[in-house]
Amino acid sequence: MKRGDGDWVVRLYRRVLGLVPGAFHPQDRDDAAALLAEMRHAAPGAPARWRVTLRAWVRLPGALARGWRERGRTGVVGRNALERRNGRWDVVDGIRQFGQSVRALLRTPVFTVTSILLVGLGVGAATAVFTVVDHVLLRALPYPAGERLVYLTNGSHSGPVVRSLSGLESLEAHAAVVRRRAGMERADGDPLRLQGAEVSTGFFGLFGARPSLGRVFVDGDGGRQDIALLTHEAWSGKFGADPEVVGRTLRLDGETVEIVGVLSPDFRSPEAVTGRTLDYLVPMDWEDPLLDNPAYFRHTLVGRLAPEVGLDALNAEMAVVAGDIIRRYPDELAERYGPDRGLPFSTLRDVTVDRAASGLRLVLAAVGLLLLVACANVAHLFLARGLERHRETAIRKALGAGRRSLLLQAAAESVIVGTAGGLLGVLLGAAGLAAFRSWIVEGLPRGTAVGLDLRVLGAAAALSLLTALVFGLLPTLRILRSSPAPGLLSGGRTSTQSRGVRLFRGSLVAGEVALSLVLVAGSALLLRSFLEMTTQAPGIRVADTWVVPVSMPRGGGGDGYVRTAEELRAALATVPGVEAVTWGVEAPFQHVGGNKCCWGTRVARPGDDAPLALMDVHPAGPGFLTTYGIPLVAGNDLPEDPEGSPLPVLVNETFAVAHFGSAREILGAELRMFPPDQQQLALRVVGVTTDTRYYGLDQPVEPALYLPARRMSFAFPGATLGLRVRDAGPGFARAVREKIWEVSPSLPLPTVVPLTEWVEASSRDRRFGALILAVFGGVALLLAAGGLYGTLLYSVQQRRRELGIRLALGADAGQVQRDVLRRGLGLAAVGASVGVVLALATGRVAESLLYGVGARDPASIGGAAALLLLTAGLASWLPARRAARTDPVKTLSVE
Amino acid sequence: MDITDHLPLSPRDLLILAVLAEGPLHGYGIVKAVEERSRSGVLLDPANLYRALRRMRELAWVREEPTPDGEDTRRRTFAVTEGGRAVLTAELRRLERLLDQARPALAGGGETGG
Repeated sequence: MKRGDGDWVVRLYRRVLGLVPGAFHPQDRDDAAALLAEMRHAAPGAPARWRVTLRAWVRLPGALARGWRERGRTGVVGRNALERRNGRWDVVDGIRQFGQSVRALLRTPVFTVTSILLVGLGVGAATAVFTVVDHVLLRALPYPAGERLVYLTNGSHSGPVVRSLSGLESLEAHAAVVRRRAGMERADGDPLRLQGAEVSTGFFGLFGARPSLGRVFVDGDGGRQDIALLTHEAWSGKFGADPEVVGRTLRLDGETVEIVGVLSPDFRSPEAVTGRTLDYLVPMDWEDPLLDNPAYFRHTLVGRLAPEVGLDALNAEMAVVAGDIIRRYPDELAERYGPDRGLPFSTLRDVTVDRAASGLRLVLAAVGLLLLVACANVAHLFLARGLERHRETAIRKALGAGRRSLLLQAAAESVIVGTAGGLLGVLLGAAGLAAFRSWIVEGLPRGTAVGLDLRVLGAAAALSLLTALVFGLLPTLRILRSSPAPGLLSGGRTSTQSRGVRLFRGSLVAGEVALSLVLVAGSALLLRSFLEMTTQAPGIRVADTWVVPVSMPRGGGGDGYVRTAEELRAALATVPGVEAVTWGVEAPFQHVGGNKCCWGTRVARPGDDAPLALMDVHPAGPGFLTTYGIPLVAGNDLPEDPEGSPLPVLVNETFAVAHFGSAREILGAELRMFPPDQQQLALRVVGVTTDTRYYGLDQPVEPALYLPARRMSFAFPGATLGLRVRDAGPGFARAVREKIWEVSPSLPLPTVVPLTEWVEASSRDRRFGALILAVFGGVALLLAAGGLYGTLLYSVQQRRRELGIRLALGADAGQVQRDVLRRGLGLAAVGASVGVVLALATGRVAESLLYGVGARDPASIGGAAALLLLTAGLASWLPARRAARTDPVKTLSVE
Repeated sequence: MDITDHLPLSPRDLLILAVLAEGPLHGYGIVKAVEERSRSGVLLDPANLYRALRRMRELAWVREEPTPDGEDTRRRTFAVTEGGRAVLTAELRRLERLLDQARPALAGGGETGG
């Protein structure tokens, strides 16, 4: 090589060529440099030389890049050989592949839409429900040492039990709570209804309630009627977040009350204890004479376990306490806290979610099942699609299409469907969650702040994507593994599905049917249970009945109580539209669920020590039975003004039959009871009523006693008036309130509601659960039907040739149709059998939610099976018809 | 592996093979021949030329010839192989077919391609 000017250019050229490791072979670098030198030398002039040099340099980066890309590969020269690039995947190629897959999916819209919907439904439902369940069931209570908080069960409690808590060693703190309601007077218009609680000072420490303004209650406040605390929600919602609110007074329940503080926003009221909303707190009155009354049950008791102490130790201590209390007050409390019932504590968390937990777990299981069914269907769809394109794939393979290209197209389709479905799932999940929030925040504890749980969303989406991928790739993998010839034989002599595949697809469908049966049977059970419950005669006349719970003035004793109630009653009778008025301590459906109020008593025969029963006492004002529409089964109604002893009373049918054999038998019977303020009271039964569902449609009927309210010798904090109304127009509630105010201006203005509101509220949870499961059942049914339809349709297509031959040879079209139908029903029957076994096995799970119907109810399970088989029959019908109409000539000619 | 997978050839590769088909050449010879052939349409640069030559050697379209006696042993000579000729032929045929399809358009319609 001649040396000359510009040597450095050439040397640099060679140096640069070596910059990218592996791009240029050293020999090539030398040769290229030499060539450059030669070209420069041969150039006919300086401009030409520079042109050559420039060109060489400008093209250098490109050459380096290409050299690097091509390193180690058997060179690809043309653009056609997409598949043979066994190195990186070009972005351009990726986009092209994506476009091809999208087009392929668009060509089969039914498949695409169906599979995306399935994925979306599964992911959305799973995420929404899991989120709610997680929030309600799994999150810890937001209180200091929340898991150590305990709650005394077995109803509300009276003074002796309340006072016993301070002596317990297992509890390091405790509090007593009584729920209250009040009307706050306002300058303009109706009073504001507020929900509140009377709390002992221990409450604040237990639930981490700190003031953001002012102070909380201290020990010296006990018994003060004139102070109150506001919760943050009430303060910001109803008091305009007034920063000067501390020290303001308001009239609550007719009394002037000073606001001493506002609780901080991070305090979450314990719903199981204080109710769903809490606006205000007042201090508990330890001097309340009613606390000395062992039969007056109104307190809810909570506490916190001492460190290192378990619930068992606490309950052992409580057993001793119970024994002691029973000894002191045998008449009133022996039955209530006797050996079977005792005074057990539960953890607050258990109590909080108890009502909802079993229902939610069921919904959880239902959603899991739905997801499975959806995935099975997705798998099925992709499998069928892959097998349908069997020929096309085989041909492409024979023509040299690379593994990668074929697999990538299948994978791309799965990914597209999975992603689109996942996005749809997010939308559906968010919508479902919004629905949850508006629907069931009412019925579920702690459901207020709920946002989509991303982990579950991710998991569900990943599951669906995986299913789509696996079943999308399977058929392609099968073809790649086998030799191409069989797929290409014209017509495919035998079904191109091997036995293995057919068996798999069949079991997929049977599995879907089985799972769907469990879902459908579950829905049927719950629906039946709901129907049982709601068509349960409440035992009273709910329509046209209104109720008015009022707070009664303190002081005045039993006489004052009765007098006020009678005044109100007389006044309300004059309100236009009111046909009848009565009053009592409470009304039916006022206290729903396990927490009954207000008066329970032991009842015994005269001369007997052993009590007959523990009865719920309902003081009944004049016209109680007629106003509430409670029919008499035997005997007479209570006299309006009973005098002397024994006191005439009514009992319900359950008690009469249980202890006296029949309603007739008990008439005239004499009993005694043990009221809070006297030794005992002599009673005579003058009538028997039907059983009423006083405490809720789903509660068992307990013995009940009605006594004349006018003979009440002590007062309760509240009373409830019942109205039978004809044509309550708008403004009826206001008219009632104004009439009450007219009569007793010092009384706080009360709520006035139709009884149906209370009745419906009591069944709302079950209603929602039933709805959810009905929806699931319906969807599961659809999915199972879809799966069956797809399988049969495809198998008919596959066997087209065989069927064509049979028809050509004179086989009866009807026979062919029946064959296909038989196959479909056969699959469904197998699935249904498995499903029935599964449903029976898992029935126990749902039992706590059921009412009036056993978990193994044959009607429900049998009905579900029948429904599924019917659906299977319908789903098989269309493909069967197709089979029978197969044109033998067409199928026999070479495809 | 099909020959047709490598089509279409880039103009550079096509011309390299075409000139080599007429006889073995060394690097500078290829450059000059291609320049002439294409009437200065395709001007090769050293780096890309040797890169292409290496690739074609790997594909067995081109092989390195032993240098004729007396010449500078450092100048490598390249010759086309049977495989190279086959590819070249295939590409030319492809181009002919294309022309056949397109030519009627030039003539203003009329006959459709055979």
